[in-house]
Amino acid sequence: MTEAVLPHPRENYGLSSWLTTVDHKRIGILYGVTAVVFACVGGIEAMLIRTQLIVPNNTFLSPDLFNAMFTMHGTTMIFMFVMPLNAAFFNYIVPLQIGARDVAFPRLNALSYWVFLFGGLLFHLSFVTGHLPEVGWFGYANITTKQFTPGPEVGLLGSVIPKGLQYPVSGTEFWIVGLQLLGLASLIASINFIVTILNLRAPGMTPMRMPLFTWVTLITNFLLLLALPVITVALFQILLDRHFGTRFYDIGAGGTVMLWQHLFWVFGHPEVYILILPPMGMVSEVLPTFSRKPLFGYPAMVYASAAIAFLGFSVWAHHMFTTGMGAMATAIFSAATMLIAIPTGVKIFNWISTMWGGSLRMTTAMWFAVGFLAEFTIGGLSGIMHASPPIDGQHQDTYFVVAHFHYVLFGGSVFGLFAGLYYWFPKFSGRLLSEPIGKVHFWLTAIGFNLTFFPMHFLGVDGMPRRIYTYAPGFNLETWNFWSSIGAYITLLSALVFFYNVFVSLRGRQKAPADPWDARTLEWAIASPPPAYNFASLPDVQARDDFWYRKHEAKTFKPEPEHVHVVLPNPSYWPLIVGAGITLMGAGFLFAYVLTFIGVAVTLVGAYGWSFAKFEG
Amino acid sequence: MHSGLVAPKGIWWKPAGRQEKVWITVAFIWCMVLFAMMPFWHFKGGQNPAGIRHRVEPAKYQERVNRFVQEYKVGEDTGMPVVQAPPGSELYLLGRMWAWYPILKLKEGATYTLHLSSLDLNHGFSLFPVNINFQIVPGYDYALKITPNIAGDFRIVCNEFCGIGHHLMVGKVIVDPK
Repeated sequence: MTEAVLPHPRENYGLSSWLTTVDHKRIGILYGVTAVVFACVGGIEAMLIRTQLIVPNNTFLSPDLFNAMFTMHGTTMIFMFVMPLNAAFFNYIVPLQIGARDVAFPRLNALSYWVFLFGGLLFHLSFVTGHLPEVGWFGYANITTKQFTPGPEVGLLGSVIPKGLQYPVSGTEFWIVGLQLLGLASLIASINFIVTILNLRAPGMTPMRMPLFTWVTLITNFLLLLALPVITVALFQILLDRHFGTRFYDIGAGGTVMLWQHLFWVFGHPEVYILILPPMGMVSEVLPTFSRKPLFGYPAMVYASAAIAFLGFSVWAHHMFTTGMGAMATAIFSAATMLIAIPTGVKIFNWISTMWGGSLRMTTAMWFAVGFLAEFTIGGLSGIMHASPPIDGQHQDTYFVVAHFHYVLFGGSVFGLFAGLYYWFPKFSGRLLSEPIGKVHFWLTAIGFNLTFFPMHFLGVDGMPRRIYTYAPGFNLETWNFWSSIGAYITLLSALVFFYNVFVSLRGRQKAPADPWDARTLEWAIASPPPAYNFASLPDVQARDDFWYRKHEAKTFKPEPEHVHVVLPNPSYWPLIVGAGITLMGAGFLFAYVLTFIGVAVTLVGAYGWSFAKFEG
Repeated sequence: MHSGLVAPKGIWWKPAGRQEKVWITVAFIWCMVLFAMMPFWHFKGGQNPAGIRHRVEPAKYQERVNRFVQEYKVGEDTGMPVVQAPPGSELYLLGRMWAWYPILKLKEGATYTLHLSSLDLNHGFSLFPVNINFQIVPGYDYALKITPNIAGDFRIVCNEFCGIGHHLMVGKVIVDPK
């Protein structure tokens, strides 16, 4: 069969068009909406935690439920909110920025979304069964073994709760299988984006002309590709321990729990950069646009991003300074950790230099980018503090560390993501978000966030340990806990303002122009929202910040050809079916092993159909 | 504010300018200084926790703790033995679900070697209200040289999540004044 040549494909509507879509823009929207829904769940969990801690000796949550809440909150926010929201931007923006019509493997892209969605839902199914995981987001072995967090006994056709348990039934399996599926989704996506960025760039888009967001996407996906297999192996180890009697983490049988800590953090530290690098890329797009200057030190920014990613693999043991690795190992990991401050510092100063002397337009996106700079710097500095082992010995497992990583992940990642959302929302939806409401949103978020997390520095130094459901009065902890909880409620209010803004803007009549910000990169050269085929004719890139160059330097627009034949991939049900099959394989370990066999069959059928699907013209 | 339609002034389309190069050089030198600080301070300051970890079977360690308690027991506090070993001796502390065993009685200014290990799970040794944190890993004996320099009653709080009774896992260290 010869490759069919299509006229411009038409937009399709309806539920089935979303279930079968392979369009990177629609998958991006699916990713984004799902991530925001999971963020609401994680946010409610955060509110419950802060409500429990608002006064000493509170009994709002039982210790049991509190343990479940911090486990769910951490896992949800990292794996089901920030990572997929980053993926939403990769999906929507990167093909547009490099002048491509889609990603390299559109159906694989759909598969990664479905596996992510089903993995997240499977994880949250623990709410329905009533057995929530209680292991903390890093699930340190050996609490994840069957001995200490027993789960139901799974048989071929069903599961029963064993009688006479020493400890209550836990949902550790939900955590293991959910995380495994979410990791698989990211792994699939990472291969897709690496190939897309390396192979599908428009003519003339040399690597050093790529927008910085595309660069960090490439780097982040290399991190995902290299880091995720490690956690996959570690999760399989506990799964084997729990279901097939292996002894990786059984101390009595000679297993060692330090193995888990090493494996987890070999994955876990690059994971931190997986979370923060894409928002750094977003900020690197927002700042130049609203400063009307190119990014200061573009090559240094690219090299710094790559250096952060590379060094990120050599510092994992700084999470383990207090396990007694010996002074030499401690010193080496400490020095390597301090080394990361260098490329990060390069970035911070380059962002400031980008704004320096620029003609600033303080839009909401710009406010969030500036907020990112300030708060990420605070988080980075406290990070350097516990890069020093003697100080780490004082901070480890106190609220100081909680303050540190929330400054990096909320003040950093989430503020960067909001900057990106306000910046690209017109491209996603064809509507501009309201600027006045946006500014209210920004200030409420900034005040709420800082009020929540800045006092945690003091609480940590005063010795308040993490992961304990309450605290006693009289240790100087009451005041700051109270204000921290008030800050959390203000943050909740700010989220409501954001949703109101989205609602009002989507209902509004005013359409966004193709280039509302006088922006610099190729995605703004096409309509908002872009047509299914993105570019009627592929752009011929002549400069870094090509669109800006064309508008203001070259002063010539290449007229678009009136009718060009575009080949787009067919919509397909197969990714959905394969995704469901893979999820069933995991669900077998929760409910009945027979589901695993059904899952294998479904996956095989799906893969067969996928491989032999005809290209329909 | 200029209109975005006016072309920007400056050297934006050319390779890195002098300011960028100067900045990169300064930053690079500063980075090297920071990088050198840590190994330098490791040897000069001697502040890194210098505890050494050995493999040990949890059952054997428990036996050792029991012998230690028998040898130096001086009293009991709500069922938990209080142990006072002479200055300079080896102390053995066991973390288990969900208690710290035994209660240690130390002398201000004396130096001890404190052995820490766990019988079952990963626990965390956190001295309250002063901030000192160590991970207590089952299967490993973590030996620390300690010199208490403040007298008083201290609590040991578990700070590594260890299940349903995690918040109840509170131990006690008493430091007698000189």
